[in-house]
Amino acid sequence: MAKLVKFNLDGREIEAPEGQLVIEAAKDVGIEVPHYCYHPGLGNPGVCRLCVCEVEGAPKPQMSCRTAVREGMKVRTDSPVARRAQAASLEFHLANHPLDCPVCDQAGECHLQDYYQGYGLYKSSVREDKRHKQKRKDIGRAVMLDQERCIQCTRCVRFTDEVSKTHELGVFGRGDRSVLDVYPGMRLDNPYSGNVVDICPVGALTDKDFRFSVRAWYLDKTPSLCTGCARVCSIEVHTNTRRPWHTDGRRVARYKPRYNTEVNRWWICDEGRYSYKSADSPTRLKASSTLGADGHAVQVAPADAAARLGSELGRHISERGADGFAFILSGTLSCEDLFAAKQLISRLGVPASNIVLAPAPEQLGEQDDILRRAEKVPNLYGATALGFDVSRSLDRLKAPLWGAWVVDREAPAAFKGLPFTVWQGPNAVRFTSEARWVLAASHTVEEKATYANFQGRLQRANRAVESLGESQPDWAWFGAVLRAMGGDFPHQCAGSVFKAMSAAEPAFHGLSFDLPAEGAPLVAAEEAVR
Amino acid sequence: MTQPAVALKTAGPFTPEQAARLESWTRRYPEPVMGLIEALREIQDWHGEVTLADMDHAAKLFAVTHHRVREIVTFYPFFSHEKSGKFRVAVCRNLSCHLGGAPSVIKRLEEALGVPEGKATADGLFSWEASECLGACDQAPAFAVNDELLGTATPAALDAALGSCRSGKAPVAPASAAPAAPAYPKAWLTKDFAEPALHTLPVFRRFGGYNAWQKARAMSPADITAEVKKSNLRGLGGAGFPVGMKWETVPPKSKRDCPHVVVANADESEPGCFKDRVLMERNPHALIEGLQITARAVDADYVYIFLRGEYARQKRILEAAVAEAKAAGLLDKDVLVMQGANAYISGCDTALLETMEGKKAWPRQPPPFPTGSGLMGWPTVVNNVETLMMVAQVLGVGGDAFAAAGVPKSGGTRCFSVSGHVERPGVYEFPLGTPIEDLLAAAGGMKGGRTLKAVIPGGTSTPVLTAEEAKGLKMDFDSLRGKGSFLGAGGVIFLDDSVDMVDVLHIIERFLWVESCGQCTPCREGSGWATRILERIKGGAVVASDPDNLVRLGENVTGKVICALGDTVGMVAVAMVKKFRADFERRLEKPRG
Repeated sequence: MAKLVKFNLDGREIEAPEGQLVIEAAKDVGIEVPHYCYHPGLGNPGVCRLCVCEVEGAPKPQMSCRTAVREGMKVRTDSPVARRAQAASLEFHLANHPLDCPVCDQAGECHLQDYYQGYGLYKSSVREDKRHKQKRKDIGRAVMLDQERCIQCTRCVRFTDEVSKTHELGVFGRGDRSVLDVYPGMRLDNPYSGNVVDICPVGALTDKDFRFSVRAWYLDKTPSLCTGCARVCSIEVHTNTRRPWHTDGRRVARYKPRYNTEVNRWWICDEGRYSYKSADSPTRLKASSTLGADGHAVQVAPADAAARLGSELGRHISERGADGFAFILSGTLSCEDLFAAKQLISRLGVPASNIVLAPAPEQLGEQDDILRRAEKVPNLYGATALGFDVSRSLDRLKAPLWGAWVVDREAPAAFKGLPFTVWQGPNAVRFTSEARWVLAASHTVEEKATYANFQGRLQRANRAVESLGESQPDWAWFGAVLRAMGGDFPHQCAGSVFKAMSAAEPAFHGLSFDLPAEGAPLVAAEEAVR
Repeated sequence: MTQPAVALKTAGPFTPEQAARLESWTRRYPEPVMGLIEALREIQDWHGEVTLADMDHAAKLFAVTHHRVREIVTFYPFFSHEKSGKFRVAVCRNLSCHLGGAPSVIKRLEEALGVPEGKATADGLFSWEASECLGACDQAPAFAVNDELLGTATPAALDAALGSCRSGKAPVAPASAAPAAPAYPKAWLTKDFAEPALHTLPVFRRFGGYNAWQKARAMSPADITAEVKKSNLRGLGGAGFPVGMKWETVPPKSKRDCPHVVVANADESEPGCFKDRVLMERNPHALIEGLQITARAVDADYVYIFLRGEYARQKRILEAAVAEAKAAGLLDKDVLVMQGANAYISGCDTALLETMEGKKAWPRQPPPFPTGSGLMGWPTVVNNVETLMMVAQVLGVGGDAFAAAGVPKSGGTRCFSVSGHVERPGVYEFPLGTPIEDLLAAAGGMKGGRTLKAVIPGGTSTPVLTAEEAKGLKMDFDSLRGKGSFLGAGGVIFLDDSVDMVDVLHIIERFLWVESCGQCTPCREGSGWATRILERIKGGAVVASDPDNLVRLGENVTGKVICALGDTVGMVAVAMVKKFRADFERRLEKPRG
């Protein structure tokens, strides 16, 4: 930790680590200095010349992104000189900008708009024609480029050079003729390409998936988690429920990364970014069902389903014994879900050797040294912390089975003929139609829930939209069946489940459901498991 | 001269000899990538363009990313994206050449070749461009073929050059003609310029050449620096920074155990300046001598002359001189001549280092300064050609005597490039602090006896002075600062009363717009905006707010940008409009009708 120094910023005496950039120190005390090129994750080239400040004793205005904090210095980002320079910089930024806001997706979340509102001149002196460049250039799987809108802050170039290290983008040419572009013949198809859209302060790089769907100001934003792999990145879920026709009824419009210094910093991978689609996918189950006498699925209301399933399951167990029943659980389940499952399993007396939680082959994928983890299920660490053996794979199930409860994953073909099967999850898989009982579960975006990523960091997802149809959280299903079978599960909300879990499970001792934004490490998780 | 298309597809774009030659660029410098831009220059020469296949080859050969190679090829004007002619004819359109009649030469050339600018003739023989300053304002309007400067583009000279090209022979400039005897009797650098063979080692030595170096060889590095400090020698490339003080900031090897570097900034491209070109042509050994002394003073391991791309002939002269000196055992450190790719901004020391490192010339933002972390992060002294030559003079005459020749805080003489409306444009050496009238008199006075209207005192990057302000003006760094302008690189352009300042400002802003690297916003956008406003005014669509808007625009750029080029965009506009407002307002009286 650097030494703390006192300095004066916009008339306020503040304390900051020596050597910290003025722009960061300002942010820490809630002073916004407008900027384009500076991004804390990408170094500070100081090229946009917008974050102008006045430093007492300096012969000319300085850039907040390149000025380090020193003891006793006096800095003003709001003096007439600084404000005039900021306004002038904005005027230059707009001199060749097409101002096509009405047809630009960035409108509403554009830093040109925002800063012009806050710091601009409000009077255009530009009588000259603007420079024309390429308006629509499809540069990659996820990204569309508009060279005219580009203000050449080089954030995206630095991202592909420094973070993804894939080097597709460059600023080619010279002066105001230069353009942002991909190297001819290359595509911006790296696994993190969507991030360049997030960091583009203007509408030069837009997301092909989101383009022309819904205006940014109609979106509601919920801090949550991407559960697409064991990294469990912090995200914002952007939902559109005010103008549903704009997204063809899809409630979730997109995922955006949310800064988390411990997990994903500013980024998410494309795989995770576009995984939002599963929330409103046609495969979503809106209601629970059971197979009727004729072999066709019959819809059953949730309360009914729990009661009937519980009674059927109780009968089978008393007739055939719990040794012939298996739980095929998924690492996609939250800690609350798994805690509830654990209560149910214990009540039923299913032996530990019949519990499978290892990722299925389709749940393994690519890994890199940026964010992506090979384990595509989020919560194996949490499962371990709750005492589940996550190493036991499906093909090591030995006991002859009469039934199984499969959660959110494919089941082996052999399960098809079992007398009693339950399938539970948000999105149907092949096996779903074979199961005797199908329980519609909520999607991650629909429920408050905690997940412990591969580092053992516990974070909380939040409810961005209501559960679809009659779907309900997995913990609620386990709990309802448990209650139906005479067990004790008094919880009506995820917070209540968490509270019980934190009391009962050593790894969760002392943790509150109101986790900090960046999450918290599980308590001595490894020891707790041993 | 290029490979057949079939060979392109099957055997790669290069002959085995060419491939070997390119490979040799990876071994010329301590870091392979330093050879990248010169390798690309060769490719441009062979192919008349740099294709994607070429870039692919270069990226692999130099182990850099593809986009970096393309950034270079699209940044530097030396490279073309469509096939240029076998002979590239360039006519300078900048200020002094404009005043000397460039527009009519350009028209002539376009008619003679029958193709628009940048397009090759059907036979592939020619392409042409109206280029920015070629560094030959004394020969206005100057022209060049394939970077060989050929002097004044008189109709006869142009026809002769084109004729030579048509017969398949690239025209070559004659061996340097001896310039007129120096005007100032106590001149140092130019005192022997009447001697035609001064550029050869025996003649140079006959006039006492390398004596200063022999003296310095017997001195400790600290003593050399002390002598230079005593001399009050200041950087003559434009910034005027005290030379000894700069050297002192180089960390000793005991503190920075890595190579140290000295670079002669020979990227002279400031419109109005051509003294480095003349000095190198006439007196190349003086530069080599200065470099050896400087290298000893700062304990340098590598010594480079970074030469502007268009100085093809000067490169031959310098390399011949280096070879002579080397053979005579005069070099403690080898001197390599490195060529840029025709970007004005490469003349800015930190941008120059970027070019040397094989990147586009985006200036760095100190700190760190190059003396602490320069080329490849090594401590690097970048000094102007003339400055380095003066270092040898300092050692020769002694620091005190050198200082005595100038004014307080600025010792010695300097070479002024005088051009514009004067009778005898050329390089004139005078002590710092000499009244401007002496310069004008040396250059034969105003052309045709016309009245002086304005002076651009240090190259077009320096704010203009009115005739009134110029009266009795002492030509040294601090006096010029007192007038709100700069001595710069000493490129003095005299303008007579026939000149319309709207045209002058347009030429300057257009130059800055063309040459702006585009890195920082106010310069990138401001230079283009100012140029377009001036084009509109010239076109007659002037509005009453234009003069004030130009001043406002200028004030908004200066001081908010990364490098001096950006500052210039604002400064020159502000000075020009404020001092010659009448020229702008006159347009208002005759609105477009």
